[in-house]
Formats: sequence, C-alpha cells, structure tokens
Amino acid sequence: MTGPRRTGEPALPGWWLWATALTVAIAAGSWLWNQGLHIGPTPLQRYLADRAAALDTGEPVTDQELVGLARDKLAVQAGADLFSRNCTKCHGARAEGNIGPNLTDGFWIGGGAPVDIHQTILLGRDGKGMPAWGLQLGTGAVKQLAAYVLTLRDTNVAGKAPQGTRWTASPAR
Amino acid sequence: MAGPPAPTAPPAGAGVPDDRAARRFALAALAWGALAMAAGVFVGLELMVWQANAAPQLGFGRMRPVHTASVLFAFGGNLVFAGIYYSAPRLLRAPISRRLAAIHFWTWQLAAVAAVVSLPLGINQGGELAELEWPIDLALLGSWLVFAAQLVSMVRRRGERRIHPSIWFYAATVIGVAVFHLVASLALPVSLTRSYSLFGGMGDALIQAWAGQGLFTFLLVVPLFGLLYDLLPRAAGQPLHSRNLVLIHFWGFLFAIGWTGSLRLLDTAVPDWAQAAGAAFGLVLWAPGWAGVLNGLMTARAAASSVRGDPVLKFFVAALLFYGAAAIDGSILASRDAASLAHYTDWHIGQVHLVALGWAGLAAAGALYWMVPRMWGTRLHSPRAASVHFYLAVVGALFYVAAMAIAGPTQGLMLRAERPEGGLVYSFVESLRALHVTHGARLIGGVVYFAGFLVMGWNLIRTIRAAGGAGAVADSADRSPDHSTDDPTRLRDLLLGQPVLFAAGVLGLLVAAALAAPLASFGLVFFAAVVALGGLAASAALGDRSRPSWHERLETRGLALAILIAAALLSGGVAELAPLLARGPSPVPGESEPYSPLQLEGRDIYLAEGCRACHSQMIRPFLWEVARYGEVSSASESLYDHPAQWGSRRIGPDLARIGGRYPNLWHHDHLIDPRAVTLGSTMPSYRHLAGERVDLTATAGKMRALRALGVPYTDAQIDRAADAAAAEGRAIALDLRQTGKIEVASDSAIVALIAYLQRMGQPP
Repeated sequence: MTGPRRTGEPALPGWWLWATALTVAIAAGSWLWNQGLHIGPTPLQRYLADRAAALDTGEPVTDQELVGLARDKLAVQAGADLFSRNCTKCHGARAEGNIGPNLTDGFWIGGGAPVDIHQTILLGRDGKGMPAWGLQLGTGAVKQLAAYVLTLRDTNVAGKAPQGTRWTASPAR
Repeated sequence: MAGPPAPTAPPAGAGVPDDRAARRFALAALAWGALAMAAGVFVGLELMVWQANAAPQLGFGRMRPVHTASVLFAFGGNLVFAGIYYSAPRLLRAPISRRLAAIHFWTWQLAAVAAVVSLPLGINQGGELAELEWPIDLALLGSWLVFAAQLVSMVRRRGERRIHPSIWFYAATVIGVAVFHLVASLALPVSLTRSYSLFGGMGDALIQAWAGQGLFTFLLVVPLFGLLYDLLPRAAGQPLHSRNLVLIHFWGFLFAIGWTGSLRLLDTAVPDWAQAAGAAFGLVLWAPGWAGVLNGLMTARAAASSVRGDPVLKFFVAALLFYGAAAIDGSILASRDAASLAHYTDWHIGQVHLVALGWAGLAAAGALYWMVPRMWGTRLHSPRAASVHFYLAVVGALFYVAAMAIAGPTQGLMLRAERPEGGLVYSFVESLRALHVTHGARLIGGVVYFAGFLVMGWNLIRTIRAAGGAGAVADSADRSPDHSTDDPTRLRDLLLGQPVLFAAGVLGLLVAAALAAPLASFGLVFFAAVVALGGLAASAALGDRSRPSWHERLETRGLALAILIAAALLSGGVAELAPLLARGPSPVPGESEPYSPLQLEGRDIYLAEGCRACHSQMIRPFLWEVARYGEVSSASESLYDHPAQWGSRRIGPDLARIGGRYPNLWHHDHLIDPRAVTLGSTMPSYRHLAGERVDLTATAGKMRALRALGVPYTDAQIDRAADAAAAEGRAIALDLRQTGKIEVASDSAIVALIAYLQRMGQPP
C-alpha cells in the first residue's frame, strides 16, 4: 500500500499528453523564432521602434512654426499650464531656475534656437537631468511648451545665474 | 474526550517509530504558522492604513521580510521537518537519531527566533528572500546540515530495500534548500550585522531570483508533494494511481525548475537569451506539476465516497486543485505579454499566495490532521471543527487570490495607460489608491484564512490534550539494516545509465544550440527533439519488463539517487547562471561608478529599512515606464550594487533615476511626512532617521570589503572615507538649512539616505 504499483500501470491521460506536447512545441518554437533565427524583435528593439514612433512629430518642426505658435495665445496658455504642472519643480515657479537652469535669461545649455529648445524638451538631455518629455506629454504638448518657453526668453527674472551660451537670433531671420 | 486508539496500524514490521521529534516540530510549526500569518495580516493592514507603521521596528519594509522569512523558514521548515520525521522512518523502516533530532530542533528554533528579531531591528542583508544576516544564515545552514545527516543516516540504515518516491522528494528538498540557501547567502561580512553579497548587480539579481524561487519551491512545494505521495494513499486506502506520473512529475520538475529563475526578470537588463530560456522552461513547467496533481486526484478519486467526510482527503484534494491553478498561472506568466503587465504588481503576490495559502497551507493541514492524532495515539478532537477550518481556508484563500487577480492587472493597466496624443494618464499614487478596495478584500481573505488556521490549532491542541501526553511512543525499531550489498549494479553503471546519458546529451545539444549561430541552432534543437522523441519511443518499445529497469535499480541505491537528484536540479541553474556570472556586464564610465562614502552609508540604510519591498530599481524597455521613471535601466548601472536592489514589487515608484529630480529639501520633507508631499501615499514616515547617527568610522571598512568584491575604490578614497562622508553630509545639511530652515545633523541617517537617493541614476 505504501509503494506505487508497477503492474497494470494506467495510461497517461491523453489531454495531458497533447497539452504537454503543445506547450513544448510553443516553447521550442518561440526559442527558435527569437533566439535561433532572430526573426522576432528583442524587447529592446521593440522599445526603440515604439519610442521612435511616439516621438515622431510627422512634418519636421521648424523655427517658423514654433515662433508662430509663440504668438498664438491659446497655445501659449496651454504651454503655461503644462509648465506649471510639470516643470516648476526643477525650473522654479517663475522659470527662474532651481535644479534646472533659469529659462528667463538669454543663455541656453542645449542651444537657444526654437528647434533646439523643442528638441531639448522632446528628447531630454542625457546626463543633465532633463527627461524626455515627449514620452510623458505627447508631441503636441511639447510644441506648446516650447512656444511658452520662447515667450520667457530675455524676461530676466531674478534667479539662478545664467548657464550655457548666449543665443542671438541670426540676422537671416 | 479520550478517543479510542489510532485507527491505523504502523507499517508492517516497523514497530512503532519514535515520533517525539516529529511531535515537537509539529507543535513548533503550529506556533510559527500563527506568528507568520499574523505578520502577514499586519503587513496587509499596513498597506491600507499607513498609521499601522506605528514604530520604526514595525515599518512595512522591516515587517514584510518578517512575514516571508517566518512563513518559509519558521513555519515551512518546521512543517517539513515534522512531516519528514514522521514519514521517512515509516517508509524507510529506519530509526531516528534522537540526539541529532534534538540538535536539529533547537538550532532551527534559535535561528528562526534570531530571524524574526533581527529584521525589525533593521538588520537586513538586502536580498529578496535573502534578508537574513550572515550569522543567522550560518545557523540555518548548520541546522539544515544536521537534518541532512539525519536523513542520510536513515537512508543508510533503512530496512526497506527500495527507496519510496516520497523519499526522493525529501532528498531533493534537503539538497535543494541547502544549495539555494548557501548560494543566496554567500556574502562578505563587515561586522556581525552587515555583510555584502558576493555577487553584485545583474549577477546578484539573477541569484536572488533563482535562489528565492528555489527556496520557496523546495520548502513549500517539493517536500509537501513527497508527504502527499505518502499520506494520501494511506488516507485513501488506495495505492498511488500511477508510477509513471510520479517519475514524470519528479524528474520533469527538477530539470525544469532551475531554468526558471530568470522568468522573474523578464524585460529587465538580463541578457535576452537568459530571459528566453526562463520563459521556455516556465511555459512547460505546468506539465510536470499537473502530472503530480492528476496523480493525487486520481488516487483520491478511487476513494471518492470518503473524500467529503475525511478532513485529510478533503484538504489534500483542495490543495491539489489550488496547485493545479497555480501551475497554469505560472505558465501564463511565462508569456512576455502577461509578464509585462504582471511584473511589479499584485499579480505575483497572488501567484505566490495561490501556492502558499492554497497549496502549502491546505496540504499542511491535511498532513497535520493525519499525523497529529497518530503521533499522539488518539483521534482527532473534532472533525466538525476541521470542516469549519476547511471552509474558512478555502474561502479565505479564494478571496485573497481573487483580490490579487484584480489588483495586479488594475495597477498594471493604470501604470501603462497612455493618452491617444501621448503622455501618461495616471500618476503613480492614483494607481495605488485604486488598489484600496482590493487590498481590503485581500485583508479579509487573509483574516478568514488565519481564523481557519487558529481553529486547526485549537482542534489539534485539544486532540493532544485528550491523549494525555502519554501517546503511543515506543522506542524505534532498531532493525538490522538490510543493505543492498548484494546488488550487482555498480554505482558507475547507474550514474552512466542510458537515461542519464540521454538526458545529458539532450541538455548538451540545447546548450550548444544556445551558443551556436542561428541556422546551426535551428538544426541542433531539431536534432535534440528527434533524439528525445526517438529515445522515448525506443525505451517504450524495447524496455525489458522481466528485469528490473534502470530506475528500479536506481531506487535501491541512495547515493546514486542523491547524485542524480543534485545533477538534475542544478543543471538548469548552472547552465543559465554560470555564463552570466563568469562574464557579467563590463563597466561603462559614468554609469558604473562606485558610491561615495556617504552614499554607501545611505544605501546601507536603504537595505536595512527594506525599501526594496516597495521600490524597484529597474526600468523596463516600455514607453510607459520610460515616460514615468526615465531612460531604460542597463546592467552596467547596477554593476557595483552588492546586493542588487532591482526589486520585484512597486508599491511605490521605481527609484532607478530618482537622483537629481527633486531638491534635497523635497526628499527630507517626503521622508519625514510622505503625505505632506504626495497626497494619498501609503509610505511610512521615516522621521526616526533624522535622529539616528551614522557611524562614519565604519565606512572605510565597508569600502574595503566592497573592494575585495571588485568595486574599484582607491586607497586614497578609503583612507579619506570618514572625512569625505562628513564633508558630503555637511553640504546636504547646509542646503537643507538654506532652502528649508531645517536643522539636521550632518551625520544623521536621513542625510546619508538623501545622498544615496540623489545619486541614483546620476553620475557621481
């Protein structure tokens, strides 16, 4: 009674056998698909593709477009709202700078052209603490933010000392 | 009420085994089980009501490991010992060494007490299921080796020639727990209360996942299946349904389980091939599990008429059903899509408790309802109370698991929800608030389950009281052992038997496939499959039924069996972990940099407080994770983390890139009163850290230990450690004074912790 019987061994349940064979086949197949033949994307490749798609702004953003947006009251208001919700922790309530630089002077770490500012907000600055806001807020919101930040330039609120290089609009514009 | 004598006779010819050790372990298991579940209910309450974190010692981060360690080592360990001390002498017809049993019992209780006392005091090594500091680890290991010696001595002095399948499971338990516990505990001590794990970063994260899963499985699953294979047929009055199913269950499970450590690290910085291997074996792991479930259910079905009336059968059958559900859930979690949603959420907590409450708790109850009356030579005090326990346990476990099954996907979906135009929908704390109802339901389930356990405790204590303490103890039958010295098979022939060579060959082909170029890999896996199928067909067709099979001969040889068990259960872990430990990620300048002295002290506070219980430090490659926490984590960033703090659950946000995001003042205010900064936060207050001082004279010793483990500290850095740490502390204290008029000592624990938090994800 204590030992398993040897004679008259019952057959293995059929559904169990088939389900086992199926999962073994799926496991081996997915191994081959991804690891053997490298057909499927790796998680990192898939992420990079998703990221590129999420940050794709369609038409390339131009200085003209952003400068135009900076004159659009509604867009600037939306940008100001976004700024107060997301940016003041680092840049200060009046954009005077805190952990991040003062945005009201004429100096820029990542370049002061409208497209540069847009790019900095969209993709972040590696190693400088500025995250990629494009993923958090979406590309439309980033344009509004950039428009708002453009309106802050040279308003010179007293705060953090200037960082980066002085930007002046090129005469061509 | 004094019942009539025990209904079953002991196995023929065995005499009455000495159950004194088993009795003591059973009582200890009941006491520890009550404490472990009380701790579980308490930490569940803390997640709902932050005020329950009433003292630093009772904080969630410190109490959660008390719950897990007491369930695993104190309750699980004692229960396993009770079962094996009861079952093994009967199945082997071998005597127990009373002296070894006494040493084993008391050293284990001592280590368990040390475990549940040290963790609330903030003595925490910092790994997942590897929280206990090295002296306790050593005590547990030593006690476990005494237990191993006991089982080896029983096997060597056995009166039964063939070794019963239950003993295979016990042997796998002894070997598995020893290996997993040893590897998980490998650490370099700095002092009695602080050591740094031998492995760092990704290697350590893999070790934590592999050994943590191993400890859980080999304390709460494997030995209980062994016990069930012994007791269920006795209770059912039927032979075990199928021997083939036992073979498939045992060897299949042992081979597959070692690969699946990396399954808990899907989509982390672990190399893709190791994730894929874990996922492949995780997917098929349901099959051996269900071989065991079916075998148990079919055995019980033969006694179907008595299942309802007999508490033992009832608990075993319900336990098997819960295990079957857990095995399928485990296979679902091997799919990348499910895992991406489930990781860091309550889904995993649900899966773990499906096994712990549903399987282990119910199987333990079935075993105790069988063993306790027989060990004390009496009848169960109240079968009706056992029935009440049954319904409380089943309802409690279902409630708990259902709550987690809702909570996990709820939080997972909220954290990944993105607006169509881009951007996240919910803040982290909103996802936490959404769990309030399900966490309440979980708490109710846990309390109901705990109540059932207390009913069992009362019932068993009454049973024991009624027996009057005398019981049916007789001296162990010290029979002259019937050693199988007449077995003509040599050890070498068994170890090099066809099935072993066959398994080694298939394994070799799989490893070669993993290393080979794509097309060769395809051919090799195909070849391995053909060889495997051909081998199975050939052994079925050509097997000689007149002679004992290779496995039947193996069952008469304890040493050969033990060697093959060790080989099977280690093969996957070695094949998967060894290459990753031998050739870890290379240091990347700017990413892999040692911590400064004060940051290191802050990290020790992070470890001691058990912050890992709620905060991960591993951002997965998903848009919603990057948007919330920052750029994807790489393995080189945590290279010098001994132990790794990748974590497994997010009750708070990921912290891998928290550094530089907020001013020091924000961190200070948040640690003092989290709700003043984040409305709805459930984080405990860490006000006590402002009053605690860090001993900066010890920092140099810690850095020296870490340098021995491979962290590139220079002599100058180590010599100047105390001064550098003091200077760092002064800078932060000054900043807090200037920005917030906060007066805090520059060598206070809160300053050190802020130094560490500001460093995470940032260059030094």
